[in-house]
Amino acid sequence: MIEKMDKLEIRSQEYKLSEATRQEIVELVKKYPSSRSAILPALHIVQAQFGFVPVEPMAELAEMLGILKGDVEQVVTFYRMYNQNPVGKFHVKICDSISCYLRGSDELIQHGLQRLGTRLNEVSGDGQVSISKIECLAACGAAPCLQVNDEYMYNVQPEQLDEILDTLKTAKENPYYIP
Amino acid sequence: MAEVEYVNLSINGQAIQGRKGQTIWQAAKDAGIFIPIYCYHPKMPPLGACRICLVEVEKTPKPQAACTTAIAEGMVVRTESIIAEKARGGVMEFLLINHPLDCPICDKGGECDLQNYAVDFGQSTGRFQEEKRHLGKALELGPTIALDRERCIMCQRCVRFGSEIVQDEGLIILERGAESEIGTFPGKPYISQFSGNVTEICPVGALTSRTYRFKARPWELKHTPSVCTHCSVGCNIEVDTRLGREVVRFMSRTNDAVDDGWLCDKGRYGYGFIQSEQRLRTPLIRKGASLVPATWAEAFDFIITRLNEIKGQYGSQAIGGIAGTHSTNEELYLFQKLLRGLVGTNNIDHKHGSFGSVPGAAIPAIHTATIEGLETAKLIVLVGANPSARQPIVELRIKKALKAGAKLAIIGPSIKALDRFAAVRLPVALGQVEAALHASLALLSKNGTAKGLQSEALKNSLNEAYNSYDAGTGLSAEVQTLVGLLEGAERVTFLYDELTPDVKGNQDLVATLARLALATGQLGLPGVGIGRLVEDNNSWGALDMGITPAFGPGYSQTTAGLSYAEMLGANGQTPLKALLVLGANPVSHLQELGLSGDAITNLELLVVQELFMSETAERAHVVLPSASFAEKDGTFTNTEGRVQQIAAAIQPLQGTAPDAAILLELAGRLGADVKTRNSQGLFEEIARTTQLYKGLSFNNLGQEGMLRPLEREAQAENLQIPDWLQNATRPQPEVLIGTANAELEQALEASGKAQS
Repeated sequence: MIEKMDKLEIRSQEYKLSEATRQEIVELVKKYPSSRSAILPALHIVQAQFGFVPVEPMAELAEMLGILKGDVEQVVTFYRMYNQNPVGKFHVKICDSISCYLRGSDELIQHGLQRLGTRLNEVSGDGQVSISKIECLAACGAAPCLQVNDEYMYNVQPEQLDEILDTLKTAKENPYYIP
Repeated sequence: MAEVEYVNLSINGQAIQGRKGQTIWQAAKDAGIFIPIYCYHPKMPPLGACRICLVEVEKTPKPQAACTTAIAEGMVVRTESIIAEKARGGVMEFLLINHPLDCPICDKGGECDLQNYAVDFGQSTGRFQEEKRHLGKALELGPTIALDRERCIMCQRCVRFGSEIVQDEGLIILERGAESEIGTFPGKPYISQFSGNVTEICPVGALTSRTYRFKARPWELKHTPSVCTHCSVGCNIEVDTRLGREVVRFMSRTNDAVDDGWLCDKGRYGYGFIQSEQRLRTPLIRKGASLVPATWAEAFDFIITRLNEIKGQYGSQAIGGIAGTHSTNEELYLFQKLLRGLVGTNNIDHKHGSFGSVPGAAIPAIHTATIEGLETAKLIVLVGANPSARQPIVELRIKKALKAGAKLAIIGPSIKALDRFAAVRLPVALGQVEAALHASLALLSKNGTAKGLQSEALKNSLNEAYNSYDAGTGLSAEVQTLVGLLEGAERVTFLYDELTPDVKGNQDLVATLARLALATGQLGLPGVGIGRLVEDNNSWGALDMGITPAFGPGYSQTTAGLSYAEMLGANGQTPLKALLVLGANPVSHLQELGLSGDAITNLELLVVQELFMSETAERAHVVLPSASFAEKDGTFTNTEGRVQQIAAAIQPLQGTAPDAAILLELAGRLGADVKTRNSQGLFEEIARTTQLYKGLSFNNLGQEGMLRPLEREAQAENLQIPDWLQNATRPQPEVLIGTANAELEQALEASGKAQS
């Protein structure tokens, strides 16, 4: 419970949708017959601004889409791709769905957290890296797999993860970025 | 009415005819066959989340959820077969995986569907060896509700109560799958005026009332059918008393015609006053500056002696009576009978909204709208009414009607919970509501679509009014939208608040509304037409029983007496020497009526029957402690004119007496030969002597009450259009809709509407 309150404090700080974000959402909504249908891509737009989905912007979005605030929260907490809390500059998302699980993703996650010295979803002290679980990345043939921000890494073994984490700690840009 | 199509099927070998579109569960229920449910609730659409209702359906490869599967011709369903039993048992085992089985310390234990069905369909031992989910107990979701997340089976009834019924922010599901739990939007506690309902629909012990926590076990409770007294809707409640003594909670006693199974929190949690320490527990007689305790005999002797003295000295016209609108019909009937018959005065009134130029005898006939009738209306017009604040359960019924396709128009100030549902809003100040109706009426007349307006004088006055309206502003466009809706709607319900006609500017609101209803063909239609949202649980009863100087019981003719304001000194000093007050607090209204308190200081006898020491009781010569609604029998007449029965749940508190008993004792001492003493007998007398209540009796009121015969038998085609409706309407140049008007502009600004 205490842990939850901390999280809430971060999410509840003063955040506001920027004019650009609002405009992007307004444009997006036009593509749908019913504005509520735009909620998933709209949340991605919100997340692009903050790196996660804070509380106040959820209320703003609800207002824009003409839905209840609670509905937005339900969607945000349902899908793992929406971060409820700030993430590191490099967000390492390790798949824990069935194929990756069978190929040792649980151990991989534990290993990574130990290496990084953080808990799940917690950002390292320098703000560089955080590790989260993610749903199936549709790369089962190369399980276990993970993403660093939007870039895929395949067949990741613990030693490789060490290497990835070490690289990320000092990186300025995403070293795995494929243009 | 479209013809109902029937479908033949068999359940457990029994041939059943169900209506097309029904689910297996509904068809089975109608046939008296039990199928357990958790997530399904008859007032909400099916969901199919919990699977406890699984049944075997022949020719389907696996068991089907009875709550979501529609019946089909020739379907063969089995609820007791091995497949069905295994399916149910399996579901039960899953539901209990994370359940803590802490029934002995659970408020729900004893009336819990999970407990009951686990006994019926579950196994005696569990096979789950792993660690159960552990979460904190009794998380306070808001001021009224506590959540035990371990007990929750994620049926989503509470969540859907918010999204389907209240259609507003409520409880939500956080996270997903095995980690999901009930919660609220971050940082926002669960605050809703309907919150208590989730504890009642929760099929397990997850959501419980904070007020009832650890107060009683269900098997200690005595359930007494009653009616809520906190507003005029008259929701059916069950007064639950522990060991027959302590009132511990109110529960809903579903009456589809009135409350649809819901209670608002004001009603559900408003039981504290019954056994409050503040209740008056002994008669009081004034000795100089203070009220001192006395025996009942002393109090009665004092009252009768003084009353007779005053009558002898000043005549019966120096005596008056003011009743409240919380008393039962029987008490109110007795009160006026005592004053009119025994004392010989017509100075009787209660606080109620004005009817303007509407003749007394026409009052019940024009109010035909019912709560259930809202669901048949195609358009609902709120006329200076705010049911959300004053009759909360009506808000839910309106939302239900809107969901089914009705449209909503709001005339008057903003209503937070309903504004966003409105098809059109005329956000005028409260004092301009009648003007808005008048403008609509004028436009209808101008369009030539007004029905029933026969008199030339009326038509001319409306045309004149129309010409004086400025047609160029934004609000005019809204009047046009409203009139367009009125012209297009087959059935319209107009709901007005009883107090709106008292606001300056609305002096003849009821008559104007009646003309509008007539012009749109809605006057006197059964179920729709005009509805009066009244103040209290028995405001209608007070009118029906003749607690007014203008008419006697059943709106019968009578010689006029002094009105409420007159008795309280509207014309300087009160002309009265003695005033009997039955469960009312007129002193609290003095300011509102623009009166000073001095006017009643020369009363030589002020008798007050009250539960609590009110402002009026403080100034009384005699205070008689009366019993609350939970301590007596009787009937109330709700806002739609439905007569409903209450029964005593507990004995009157020591030292108090029901008002009827007090009045009967007074009547006896005034020389009446009192034969009828119980509520039933009194009600039979009312039904016998009052045309309006003819045919009603305690025996046929039943659990759900009955509309007054007039409303039940309302027939538009038989309606005689009364002459008073054809009178020319009052010209209102000072309150023109759409002209530059500071008050109006403010109202528009306040409602955030641009005047474009």
